[in-house]
Amino acid sequence: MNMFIVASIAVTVFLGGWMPLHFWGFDAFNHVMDFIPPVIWYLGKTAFIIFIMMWFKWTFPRLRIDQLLTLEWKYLLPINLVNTVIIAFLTMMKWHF
Amino acid sequence: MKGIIKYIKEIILGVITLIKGMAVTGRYFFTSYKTIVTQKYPENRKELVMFDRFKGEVIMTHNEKNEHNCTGCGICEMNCPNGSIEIITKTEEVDGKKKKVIDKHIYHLSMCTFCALCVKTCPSIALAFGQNFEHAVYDRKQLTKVLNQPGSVLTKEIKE
Repeated sequence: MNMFIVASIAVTVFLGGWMPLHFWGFDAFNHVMDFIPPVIWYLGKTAFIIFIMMWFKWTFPRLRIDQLLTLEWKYLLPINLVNTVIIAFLTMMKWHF
Repeated sequence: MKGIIKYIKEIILGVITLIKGMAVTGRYFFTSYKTIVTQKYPENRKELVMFDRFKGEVIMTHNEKNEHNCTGCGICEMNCPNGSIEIITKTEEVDGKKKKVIDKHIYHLSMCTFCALCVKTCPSIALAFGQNFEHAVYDRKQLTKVLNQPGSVLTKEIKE
């Protein structure tokens, strides 16, 4: 159940939640996509995220505590800070929807 | 500047190797292989044969005449790292001479670490590893085994 909760949060925040998949300009494709009810979209996207999580569990072994700490402090945190700076830049230049 | 280029290259290479690993497991998920390595254990108990060097439990080998090779020297007891073997000997009269003969070779399966030192150091090659691995019992006393079978004696053949 934990996996379902995390997957639904990820789907709602990052993947578009219950909205159908649309591409700019492919009107026939978008029209077909609109026929599928949003419930199915939401459950389908959640199932996809849960499949990705299970795939990770099959593939990767557990990390040692020192490997986990170097991963966080040396790679994830700097990338996060750079991401924040980039977002600030994009907001300032108004290059977003 | 060079450090930053190396850092970014490291990250990208790392992510690529992670994706390669996921591709391997992904392929296993979608294809079915002719040789599947996992065995369906309780269902295949009748045909199950373990490999030759499998360490199931320590047994004393007996031949068809119910004879074993154990002289009661106690070397296995001395070499066992946690004292899972107890040798009890008795003296017997053979041809007028008093000889030391093995009475009971007690083996505590509950304490055995399966290190194989007793098998390796036995000078008469009396011990070996058996193939049976289903040792679960409800009473711990059943895990203390006497390895020499009743009525069996030291084999009369001359062994090195």
